[in-house]
Amino acid sequence: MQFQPLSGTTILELGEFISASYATRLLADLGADVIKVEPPGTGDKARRCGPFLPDASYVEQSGLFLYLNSNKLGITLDIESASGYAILKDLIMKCDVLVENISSSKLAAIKVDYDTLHGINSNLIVTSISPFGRTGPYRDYQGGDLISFHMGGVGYMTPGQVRNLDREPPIKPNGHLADFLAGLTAAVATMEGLFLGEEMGTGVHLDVSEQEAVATLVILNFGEHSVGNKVTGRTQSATQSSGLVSVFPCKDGYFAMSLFADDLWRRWLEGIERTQWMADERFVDRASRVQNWDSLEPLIREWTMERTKDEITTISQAKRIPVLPTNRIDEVVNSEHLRARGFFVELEHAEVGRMTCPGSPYKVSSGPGEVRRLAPLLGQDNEKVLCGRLGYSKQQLAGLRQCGVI
Amino acid sequence: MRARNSALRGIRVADFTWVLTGPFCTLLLAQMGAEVIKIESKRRPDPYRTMTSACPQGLESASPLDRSPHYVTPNYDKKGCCLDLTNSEAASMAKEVVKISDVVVENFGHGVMESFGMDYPSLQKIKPDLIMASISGLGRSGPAKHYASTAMATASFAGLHSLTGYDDGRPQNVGGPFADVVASYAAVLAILAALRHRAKTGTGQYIDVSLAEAAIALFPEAVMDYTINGRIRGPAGNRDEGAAPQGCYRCKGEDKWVAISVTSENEWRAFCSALGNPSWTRDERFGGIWRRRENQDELDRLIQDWTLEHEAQEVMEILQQSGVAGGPSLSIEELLNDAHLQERGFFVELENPATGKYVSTAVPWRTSVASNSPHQGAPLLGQHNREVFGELIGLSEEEIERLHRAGAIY
Repeated sequence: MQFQPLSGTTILELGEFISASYATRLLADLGADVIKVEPPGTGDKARRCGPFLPDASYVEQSGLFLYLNSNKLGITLDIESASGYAILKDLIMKCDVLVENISSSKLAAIKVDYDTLHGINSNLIVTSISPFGRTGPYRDYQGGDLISFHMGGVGYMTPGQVRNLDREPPIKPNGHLADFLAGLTAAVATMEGLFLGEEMGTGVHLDVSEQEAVATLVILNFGEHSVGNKVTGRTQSATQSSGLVSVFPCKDGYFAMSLFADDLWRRWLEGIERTQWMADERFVDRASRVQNWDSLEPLIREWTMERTKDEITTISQAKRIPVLPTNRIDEVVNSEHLRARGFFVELEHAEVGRMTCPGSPYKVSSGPGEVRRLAPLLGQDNEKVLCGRLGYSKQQLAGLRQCGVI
Repeated sequence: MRARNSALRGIRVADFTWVLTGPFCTLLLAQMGAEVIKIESKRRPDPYRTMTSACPQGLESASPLDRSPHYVTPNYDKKGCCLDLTNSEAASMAKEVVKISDVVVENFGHGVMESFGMDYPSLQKIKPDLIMASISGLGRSGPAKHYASTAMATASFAGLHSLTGYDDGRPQNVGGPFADVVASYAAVLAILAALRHRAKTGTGQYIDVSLAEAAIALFPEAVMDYTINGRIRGPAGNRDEGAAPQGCYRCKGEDKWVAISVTSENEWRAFCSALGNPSWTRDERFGGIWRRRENQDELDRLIQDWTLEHEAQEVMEILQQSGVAGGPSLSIEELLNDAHLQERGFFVELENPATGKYVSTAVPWRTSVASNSPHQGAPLLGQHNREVFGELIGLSEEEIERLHRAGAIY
């Protein structure tokens, strides 16, 4: 039986850019009926963000937007106008869930704060996503991917090792991983809201903080620090494990080395046929290997620089050592393993062309979730939603279009 | 343990997990109200139990296996029992726990659950509508399914490290067990969906989560830039094509930094005025986002001259008053002392007899109808043996004693 557990659940999305759109994309893949609301004319900011399809000439060709908004219906609506807000109210009364990432400072002014929404539909599940959450001293602060990554504590620990603290700042991965992570956690929060709402017979507000979503990545460090084991920043691994847990160079690039534990170290030396290092008093235990890393590193490097990352992986894995290649993006997309698992998904659009995207972050035995519908063009489903579901006439629709409401 | 007002009231989870990605997944389920029963081995304890930690004063008699912060932090609000799964009587008791559970979560190496006779098809025979989630580095199918992995190794495999680094392009490690935690969220989403599917259809589900895939799903732009344009993205420091300036700038003090991001002309004007409109802000090299991006190195140098005169917190206040996105790159200690996170109730204060008081995290959202039941610290090894095997499975006191002597229960 097809895995569509959210079929019959209608979700209204007031989302801009990534976090809210990714949350509802994940829920749409589970069968939810998602209606995305965009401002007329400009549309969602993600439409203007790359990567763009080749020869992109207009806003319908953002790969990012297509990825985020497949399996959704799309309408345009100026919710700040009186007639636009009236339509929004109609939609709110007809839906089960609303997901938004509207700037906190604007919420009450445009009457989409939780109290107002709850007044319109008392059973509504509302998921709010914001940089710092809707309560607390930072609630109205501006954020974004960079700020969340750093204020969530992961930036300060990235990268694992630096040589010069003054010249090598805390950094983040290229992309919008914090925004996507906020979307993933918001999808989980929304599921919790659906269960809670049914259990209690009432509406529920889920107030997701992107800063907190990032901070859960360093959960272990909070525990460590709270019992008195001081956790420092980017020098942590340099002092505690040295390069034994690091991205290490080899003949054709880099690989991920994890040789922290004594038994892994011994098994690895057997694998690479360097058992003579076991007896070397400079490297007998973990502490001495860390202390004498400067003497050990060139010895390991001499061996790794003569071998490719795939060879090193094969030799290490034969000894059950968790070593994997540090892949570039082309190697990720072309990975025989990921291809065999059917991870990547092809999207094909008559006007837009064809592209390969990451698939679902989980697999279920009932079969893969499908892309049933490509992302909507701006305002593509205005008639379907307003006339088909709310009962507006085509004439009324034309009037709304003329006034710029849709 | 948290009975009232919880989403997963009445849902029982048989937890065969260790290290982080499995335990963090079942922690999320516990935080939503599920009853989580962690089944552990003393012969091969959770590696996180064996991470050394200084002994808190006054708790010297506690077992070293019970006091590791790595173990106790992601394992609160769970029950713990201890079996030797290589013993056939213990294996059948583990199956008894599965029989009365709704969900099984495991993250052992490839083939381990099979070796206990606890693969999904076998467990489905004793619990036909079972939901089972396996979380692993590279997934349970494909040519590399048997590979040993860690969160760091799978993040490298997934391409995350190739997107992280400085101007020299060398790939760098990302702080925190990134792929572990991301995979936990993906698994929980699938488990919650499977519970709804079961309620509608009466059927169970097998869920296969790969750390690598859960991570890749969070950077589709890099994947699509390659599949559409053949472009191989690499590290970009802190930069982004949609913002300038954007970076992490040194502030007053040792290793103190502030992150700043300006994404529009309005924000740029607000940024300049927050700095007091110094003359360089009118330099034509910085007129418009494209020119600012072209001259970003020079722009960053000028901004850092200003941030170096201020505390990171102070820069945040100055910028945020003008509506500009800025905030410190916070350390663990600063986060724990952050007034905002404290007021929001993000940190959970816990205690267990071996560790004493310690701190962990709540879910990264607040609900308007939250339950206020007290939290339980992480279980000592085998702490709930009697409760689970006696009250839940229904074994007599004598039978438990016999199994204990036979080495099935520790």
